[in-house]
Amino acid sequence: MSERSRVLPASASEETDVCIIVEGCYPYVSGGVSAWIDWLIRSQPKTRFSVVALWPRPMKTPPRYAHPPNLVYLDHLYLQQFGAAPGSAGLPSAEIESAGQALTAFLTQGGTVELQNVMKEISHLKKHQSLSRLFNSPAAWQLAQDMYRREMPNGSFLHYFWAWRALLGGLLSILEFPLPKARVYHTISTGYAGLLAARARIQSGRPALLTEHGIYTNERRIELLMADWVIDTIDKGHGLDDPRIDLRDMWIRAFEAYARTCYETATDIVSLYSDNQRPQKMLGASSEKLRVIANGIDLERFKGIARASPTQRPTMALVGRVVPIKDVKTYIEAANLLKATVPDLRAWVMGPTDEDPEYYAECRALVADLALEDTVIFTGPVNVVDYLGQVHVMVLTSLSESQPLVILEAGAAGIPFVSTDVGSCREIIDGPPDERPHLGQGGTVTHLADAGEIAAAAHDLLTDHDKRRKAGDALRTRVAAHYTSQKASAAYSELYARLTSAESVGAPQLERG
Amino acid sequence: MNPLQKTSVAPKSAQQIPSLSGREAFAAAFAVAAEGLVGLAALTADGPLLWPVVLHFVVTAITAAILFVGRQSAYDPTVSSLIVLVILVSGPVGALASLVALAFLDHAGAGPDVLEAWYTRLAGSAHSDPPTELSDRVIAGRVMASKAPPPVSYEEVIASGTLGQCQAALGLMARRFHTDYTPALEAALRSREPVVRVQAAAVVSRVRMNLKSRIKQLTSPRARTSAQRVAAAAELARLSGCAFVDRADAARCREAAADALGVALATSRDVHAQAAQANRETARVIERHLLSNARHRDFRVSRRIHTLVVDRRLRLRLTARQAAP
Repeated sequence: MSERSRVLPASASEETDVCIIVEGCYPYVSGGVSAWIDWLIRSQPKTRFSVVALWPRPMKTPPRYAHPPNLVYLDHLYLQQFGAAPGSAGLPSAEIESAGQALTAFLTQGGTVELQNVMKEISHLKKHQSLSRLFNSPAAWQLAQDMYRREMPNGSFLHYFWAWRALLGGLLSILEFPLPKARVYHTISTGYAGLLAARARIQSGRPALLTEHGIYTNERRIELLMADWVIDTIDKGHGLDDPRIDLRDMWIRAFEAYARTCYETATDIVSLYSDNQRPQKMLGASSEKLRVIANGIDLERFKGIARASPTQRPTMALVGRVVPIKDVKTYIEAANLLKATVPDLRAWVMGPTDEDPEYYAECRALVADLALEDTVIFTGPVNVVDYLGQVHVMVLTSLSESQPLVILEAGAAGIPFVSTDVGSCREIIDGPPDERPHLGQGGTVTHLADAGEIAAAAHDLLTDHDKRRKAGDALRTRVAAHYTSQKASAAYSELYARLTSAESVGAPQLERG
Repeated sequence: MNPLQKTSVAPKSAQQIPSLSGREAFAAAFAVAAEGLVGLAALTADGPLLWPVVLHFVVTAITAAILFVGRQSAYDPTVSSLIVLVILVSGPVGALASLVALAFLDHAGAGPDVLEAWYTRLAGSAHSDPPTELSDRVIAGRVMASKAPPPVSYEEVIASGTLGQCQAALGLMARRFHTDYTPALEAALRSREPVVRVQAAAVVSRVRMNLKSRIKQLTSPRARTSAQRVAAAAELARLSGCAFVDRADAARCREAAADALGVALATSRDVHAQAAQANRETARVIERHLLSNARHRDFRVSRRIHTLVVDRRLRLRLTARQAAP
């Protein structure tokens, strides 16, 4: 059973305007999505929020964010704590079969109807015994066998059983959690958080809003396809289309099913950039629900920054943590190539170096190996605003990003950008597909891990002053037009106002797609 | 069908009572005789019944001593306890019933060792022999599908496969990376499909990390045979040319490969021995090393030996094929 801990004065029965459902971040992890949630709550001071934070088990660290005054209720749902002391309940085989059928359909396909069926079956089972006792009873063992035969008959039962327990434990804890009352349920991802929002939508009839920063299902799929902890119990060799279901497929299908259910039940689906809408549509999100609300920055912070003049030492900068995902080594290789044509080059790396000391040491060794000690300089964590006035070109060599704020900050200061083709970088630098009139290129987008291409792009912008100025202007105009925090805040105000209006909060009309 | 039966077949005798030693039979026979005498004494004697009762307890105690004293700690006391209880309650009749019951029990039942081996196999904590394992996998349908289409080139998959195929291929590349996959992975990094690019980037990140630790492992100083040194040198030479190994590591690989070969091929005799065992890739590494060190004679010998070995294998294979019906 999920442990509850009410942190703030309001109670679950007290209705709030918006209930944010979030998995694995706010308020215990700083930065990223947590910072965004903190910003969202503070940017809507007249809206009363509650938060349900999903974690595998209770967190031992204190919250990283002070509670905003309009956050009136915070609750926790622990996914891996389901199950009471073992019980001896058995169930009639017809009920086991019916529950197994509903659960298998839901975990393999997902969907509103399938979730409703599961909720119905679960309520029948609860008549015999509480779910948490039933989860550790002979009836659960029978259910596991039934679902194994339906779902993964060729795989190893032993491995299936433990995966099944983890999956079902999570699912049941979502279905058992006492829902806080709210006018709108706002989930920040699909997965388990999305599942809770879907349940809230079905049960309460209130609108469910989904904002996806990355694509949760894709992230899980990548993680599962590469994971060594998931054992391959069926030898598929190098075959890519083997229809036999193994553990990896089982997990992936479950997360896709959760996402499909969340997309189907959500009233509105928001992403940070339009590229992310494709995978959402592939999992059944209908086009009319989709919209983009980009993250924004406060332009005022960058207002007085003068651009670096052509007479200043040619400087490029990478702002980010020195970690492998930022591919700082490719940046150093690019600096090395660039130094042949821009001998006086200065290449700053601005960001914390203590997260992965081994990688940082390797970067330092590479710098020494290439004799770039006077060129590549690690500043450590700094206030970027203090440095932007000396930077001609900003560079991002990341292997993965969502919507990096650093491009917006550079744009606000009129500095052109060279970035790898990840996340929304292309949309910010080249402009969104529907930009009318087109504001021009704000820099160059390159392939990933290609030092030569990055060096060539940076060389163009460093040596062609006119091109650099024009690209900087285009990026500045685009950031001011699309990427301000005021604009993002207004978009959410409008969305919440629409969703909390009397018609939206009325009787639910759930349809597929 | 019970799913457990799919993964492992229980020994035939596993459901039978564990084997009994001769002690149980002896104890029961003793009890029958002794209790019989006590019974007779009770029926024929005129005195009080106290003495037969005391004697009955004494017989029961002696039977228990026969059954329990000097047993090992792993001994299963179920049957012995039942015998003692039955005799205690029913006297001579119980003793006789125990003796009859023991005659029906299967004395050839599976011993604790057999059962333990079965349990550990079921629990997955012990290795079963390869034929059993293969048989289990065939029964459960877990072996590679014999009718599956042949594997496709990953480069082709990345260029023209479906999104699902690209993702599955990238997953396989991540889990079983080989430097031959480099072009496919580079193509995935340049894919027009953002989902593929993102996954390829994650794979590259992991591959880089794995290659780094593999290089560290291969270059760490530790005792190796000459054959192991040559094999390590061949792998290091291959890794030094991989696009996902950074410059410093590539240089380290080349240096370590040269060192390993220098030690493993110090004399012409070493060259002969290693060339005879080398596969094509290793043979090339050996030849490159000999050429770069101007050991032309050894180079010629190495090539000849390797060709002879390959040729002989070829001949053997041909002979085997011709001999086949």
